Amino acid sequence: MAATPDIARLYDEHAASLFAFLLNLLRQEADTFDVMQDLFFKLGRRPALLRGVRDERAFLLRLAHNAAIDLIRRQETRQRNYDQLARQSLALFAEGADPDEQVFREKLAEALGELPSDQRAVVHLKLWEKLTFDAIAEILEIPLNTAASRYRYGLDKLRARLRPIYDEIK
Amino acid sequence: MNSEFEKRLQDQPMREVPSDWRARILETASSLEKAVSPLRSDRSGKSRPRTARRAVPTAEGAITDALPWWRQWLWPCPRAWAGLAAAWILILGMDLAAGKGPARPADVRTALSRQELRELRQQQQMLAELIFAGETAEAEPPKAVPSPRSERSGNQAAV
Repeated sequence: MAATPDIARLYDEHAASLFAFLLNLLRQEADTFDVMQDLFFKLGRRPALLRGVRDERAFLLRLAHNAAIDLIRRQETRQRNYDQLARQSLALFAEGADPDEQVFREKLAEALGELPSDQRAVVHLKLWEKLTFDAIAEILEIPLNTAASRYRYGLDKLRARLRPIYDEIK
Repeated sequence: MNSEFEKRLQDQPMREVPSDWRARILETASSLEKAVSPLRSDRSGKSRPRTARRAVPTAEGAITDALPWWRQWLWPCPRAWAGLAAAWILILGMDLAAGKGPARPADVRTALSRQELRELRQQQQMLAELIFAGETAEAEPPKAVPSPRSERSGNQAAV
């Protein structure tokens, strides 16, 4: 049976963002697949979920974030391993043709993995989704100031961690 | 520097979604039946590719959402519920085998009336004994109880 056109459209328009966000949060491709599959399955079964939604992307990112947090909480036995997994090198970014650029991306992925997941979520939404703190606060269901401070702390850590290679490449 | 650094980070392109995910995700999203069938085949114990096998709990979770609340409640641990039911059946069987079935109201009533009857008879018997003892006491004249002091003094005088 073919998927309904609306679900296909939603996938084509938002899957890339959801994938990057979930992969950055969960740090595991298999878990990312699970959450995305579950998300689109629910959307297919309950099309009314999107009724009246102003910003589809923000809404889907919010659903994805909640699902990711649920998954992490459910897998309590694996929870301790998440920090370890997060620190491992992950193919989070596209492969770069330039070796220096590739090294920078790998280091960036590692540095992101060292951030607490709440800071990582804010940094991701700010940098790669280019969302405002208002939108981020709404998606993550946190106060605006919390979103801003998490971003500032996260970015400071990234800068400190990547300064040597960043200065070298620059 | 911060804005320059931020710009640098923003320029790093994220990885694209694996190409085969689209078909798999949309196929699952399209029908509940297709989500149920891999779940059933998984229980047969056949080996499956890693990602496909990992997708099964998600499908299972999605299925439970579609079920009534009481089935959602029972769904996560059917073996535990089956074990609990078996334990209750075992306890009931042992209870019946021991011959200690629950007391019926009629038996209770009979037992009570027998006990009451026994008590009534005892009361009647005690009453009869009391009455009989009273009659015999009235028939006999009362014995003279001598005063100890006067008796003693009389005896002494005689000696």
